[in-house]
This record gives sequence, C-alpha cells and structure tokens, in this order.
Amino acid sequence: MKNGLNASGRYWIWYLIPALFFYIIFMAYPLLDSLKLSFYSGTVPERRIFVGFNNFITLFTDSEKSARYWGAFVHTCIFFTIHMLVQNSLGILFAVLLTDKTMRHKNLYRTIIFLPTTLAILVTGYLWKLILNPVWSGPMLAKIGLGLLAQPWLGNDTTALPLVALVSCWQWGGIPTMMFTAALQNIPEELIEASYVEGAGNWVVFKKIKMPMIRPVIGMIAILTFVNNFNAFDVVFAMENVNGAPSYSTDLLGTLFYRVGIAGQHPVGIPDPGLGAAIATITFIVLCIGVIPTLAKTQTKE
Amino acid sequence: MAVVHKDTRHKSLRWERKHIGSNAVLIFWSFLVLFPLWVMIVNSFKDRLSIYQNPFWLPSKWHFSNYSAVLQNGDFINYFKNSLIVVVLSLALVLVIGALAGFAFANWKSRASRFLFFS
Repeated sequence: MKNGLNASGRYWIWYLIPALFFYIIFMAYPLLDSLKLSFYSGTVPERRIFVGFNNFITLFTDSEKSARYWGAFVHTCIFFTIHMLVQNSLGILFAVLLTDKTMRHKNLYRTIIFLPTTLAILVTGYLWKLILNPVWSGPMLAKIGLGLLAQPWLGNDTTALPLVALVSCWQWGGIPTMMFTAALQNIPEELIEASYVEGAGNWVVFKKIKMPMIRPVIGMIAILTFVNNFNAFDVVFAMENVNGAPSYSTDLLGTLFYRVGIAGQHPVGIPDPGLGAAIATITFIVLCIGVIPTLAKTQTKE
Repeated sequence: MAVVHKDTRHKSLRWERKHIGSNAVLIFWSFLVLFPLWVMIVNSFKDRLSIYQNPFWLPSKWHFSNYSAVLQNGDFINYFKNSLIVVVLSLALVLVIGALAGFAFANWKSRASRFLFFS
C-alpha cells in the first residue's frame, strides 16, 4: 500500500487473488484431479487402485473400445469441419453484409441471426428433430412440392451426423457473426474508402483489406469452434441419444465420455471413471496441441 | 441532356444500393431461424392430437391448457427461482472477479502474464 497509485508499484497484483482463488478451486484442481483419475481403476472413490497407463492401453488395444473411440474421434473431426465450413463462413458472410453502410434493416437482421443462440439447445434440438421427422413434416413438404425432402434424415447413418452438425451451426451461427461484425467495424473507414478509390472491387477489398485486418478474430473463432466442438455433447443428446444413434454414427467424444465415464456402457451398465478420465485426458491433450499453435500464429501483436 | 444523364446515374446507384442479393440471403436465413420458433410457439396452443393433424399452422381451436398445466403442476415457479439464483450469483461473481483480474492484467505486462492470460 505504500506505493499507492505509483505506476511502478505492483499494488495491482492483489486484484488477481479472487480470480486466482476461483481458478484454482474450480478449474485447476478438478483438471489435475481428472488427469490423476485417468491412472486409476475402480468405480467407488475409496477403492480405486493405481493402474498406470492401463486405461490408455485398454482404450487403444481392446478391439471394441478402440473401435468406439476412433469412431467417436472421426465423427468429432467431421462435426468440427462442418462447423468451420458452414458456421464460420456464414458468420463472415453475414458480418460483411451487415457492415455495409448502405444496407437497411441491419439491426433487425442482426437480432434474428443472434436469436437461436439465446435458446437452449435442448429446446431447439428437439424442435429440429420434430421438423426433420418425415412422418410429421412429410405431408406439408409434399403439399409444396418438396416431397423428396421427407427423408428419415436423423435415422439414416450417413445423413444423421451432418444434420446434427448443421442444427448446431444454426444454433451458434450468431456468435461468429457478432464477433466478425465487431471486428469489421473496427477497420478504419479510410482504408476501405482509399482502396475503392484506387479501383479495387468488393472481392479485392475483402481479400486484401478486410481479411488481414480481422485475422486475430478469425483465429479466436477457430479456437472457440475447435474447443466447443471437441467438447460437444448436448446437441447429440437432444437430437439422437447418448448412444449416438443410429448405430453409433453420431457418437462424439463427448457422448462416448459420458457413456464410459458417467452413465455406463450398454453391455455392462457400470461406469468406468478411470477409462472416462483417460478419454477426457486425450481430448485435453488434442485440444492443447491444436489451440496453442493457433493462438501463437493468429494472436500476433501489432 | 446532362440532367437526364445525371438522373439515370442516380437511379442506377440507388438500384445498386437495394442490395437484392444480400437481402435475399439474409431473408432466407431469417426464415430458417424463425420457422422453428414459429413451430414452437404455434404448437404450444394446441392439444396433443391437433399437433399431429396440423403441425405447422395456427391452431383451429386455441388451447391455453398447456400454459396453465406448466404453471400449476410443473413447479415452474420453483425452477424459475433456482435459475434466477444461479444467474444472479454467477453474474455478480464474474463481474466483480473479472473486473479486478482485468485491471491487474491490464497493468501487468510480462512473459508470465502472457502465459497466464493470452494477451
């Protein structure tokens, strides 16, 4: 306190203490505890035994468990790719359209695009499940001449995963739109005007001026999408079930973890927290490997 | 002649500014967003049978029994209270703790702070 408001003093370090306290108790400790749990076996906390890397070895050598794990891993990668392609491209597109100076009704469109984000995914997932049900929506589609679209989209194991991913894009598309809009509004007006005066078209301005200027936000969005999708669980839970129906085709790492570690798998029905923690640990490592280079590459200081 | 020329140029500029393509894209997406919400709201006023008979349009007979059932049998007030407690507490904690930590990180420029918080 003797430094007072002296700029060279480190009085502000005390302001970190509440955040650090909550971070350690609710983030760091549970994280380390779950890393530790991945080296243990047993369902009851008091009777766990240390098994070293056995959980990881079982996960990759047991033929059924490894088939499930790699299935879930591949589905999660597809799920993530669909989000990057659809959700984030739509986000950039909408943001560019909504930052055009001469466009009208911008606030109305912005509100509508952000609307699904405010709803619970359990509600919207259930609504889309009803709408995509051919028995329910088939008669209306036939009436407007789109009877071909009345397919069992969520019951077919080739279309179920893309459809679930698209519903998730529908739900969360407002977030990249909002962040890209904020980033595009921060670009100095003179830069864009000058390039139009120099004779650049819309596409060139977008590619040479807007894209480089919003690169840090693109990196941030990519990271958020990556983390959220590798931890995704609720949309599959709402639209299919925790078994990743039909025939495990929508099984994500999140649902696999839930089945193995918390709820119990089909033939046995008893959860194996150690194996579940092993899945969570691998996912955590994959996320770190993906996130840290992306941060380093896109979050450069200007 | 000059006046006419100016007038047509003005017109074409206004034509360009109507953003037909942009509006078409945004209206299509707005429809995709609003349609499920419409389905949700409209069907909340139907009884079980008419949801299947007429899934997408206004109810032929308006039922408000779903709403009264939620309010009376569902213990809705209690759930609402619980959600409110969670929201108020977490919002208060996030604002206070986040503002304090944000102030500290704004002042703290070092390798360690960049490791703790990417900035």
